[in-house]
Amino acid sequence: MSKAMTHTEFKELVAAYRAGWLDGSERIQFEQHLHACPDCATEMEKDARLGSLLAQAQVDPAPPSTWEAVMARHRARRPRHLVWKPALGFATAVLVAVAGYNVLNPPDNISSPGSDITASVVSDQRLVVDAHQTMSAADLTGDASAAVLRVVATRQRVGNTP
Amino acid sequence: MGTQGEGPNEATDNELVLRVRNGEAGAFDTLFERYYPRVFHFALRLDGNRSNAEDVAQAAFVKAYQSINGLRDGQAFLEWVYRIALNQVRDRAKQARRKPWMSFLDLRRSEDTGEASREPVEFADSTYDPASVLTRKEMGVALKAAIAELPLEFREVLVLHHYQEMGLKEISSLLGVPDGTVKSRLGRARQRLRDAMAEWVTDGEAES
Repeated sequence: MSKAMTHTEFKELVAAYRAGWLDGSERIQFEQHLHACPDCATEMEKDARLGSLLAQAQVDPAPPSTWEAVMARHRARRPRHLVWKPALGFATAVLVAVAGYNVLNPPDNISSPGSDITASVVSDQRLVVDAHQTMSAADLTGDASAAVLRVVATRQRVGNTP
Repeated sequence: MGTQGEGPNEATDNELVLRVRNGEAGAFDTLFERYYPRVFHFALRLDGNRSNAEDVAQAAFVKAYQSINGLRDGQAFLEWVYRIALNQVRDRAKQARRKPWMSFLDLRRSEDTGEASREPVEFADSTYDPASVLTRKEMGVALKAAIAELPLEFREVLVLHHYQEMGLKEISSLLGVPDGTVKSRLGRARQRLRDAMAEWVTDGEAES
């Protein structure tokens, strides 16, 4: 401590002194001030009584809880976006993959490649949207891979149609 | 701050943390049972609301479980969970744009379920003094309200010192502030409480 403390600063240290948190010159200075300052002596007495009040103040016991219950509650509260965002991302990836497949492997019965590819992509988009809606309708509990298989199967039926 | 293993069946925090890391999820049960009540009371003293405190304490353990690999010193588990809980209380306080303090509803509830009502009073006891019981209840309510009115940074130090029984170094480490700041915050907190509780601290029994 390099400079002399003011009365306000000493008063602020009353609790720290009582907690035994002052050491060395800080403690000596505080004790010297305490002997000469009736105001700080009064604060010391008040602080001791406050300590008794704080010790009496009880809170109700913690509610019973188990780690298993906490984890179950946590899982139940899992934000919805953590469920549907991956599903939506997966559906988008399927859309891109199917569209890419159609571009690289156009069906044999194409008379006008440009228009048929566009129609095929539109058809695939509809199928994927349908698959996604199916998953959503099943309250997002549907199996994404099953939905993809349905899309592929339907795509094959569409592709095999003369 | 962490518990040391005393008996043959009582593992230290560090041992339990290592076991959790090694895939023994059951070891976390022991850590939870060991510290949940303390973390709950810590959150309750800071926030003042039982429901919030329960949320904070449980979320703190969930986060601790999910990030247990990031804990360097397993023996510092409790301090780490306190820090997580503390940050959650602070975040809630920011989100609520108000000091997290006890509502009047909570005050009324705590009066209704106070010690005196849960423990039937023996009216035949000649030492029973209704006025004294009432005064104690009033004092308890006033003290809770006064603590709730403290700025959160003061309340943190007060709660950690008085109710979690932490020392100067532990508190300064947990809060990440210098020792002098902890001393000053405790001093200011208690000064405000002395003023708020003037009716009860001007005379009466003092702690040694």
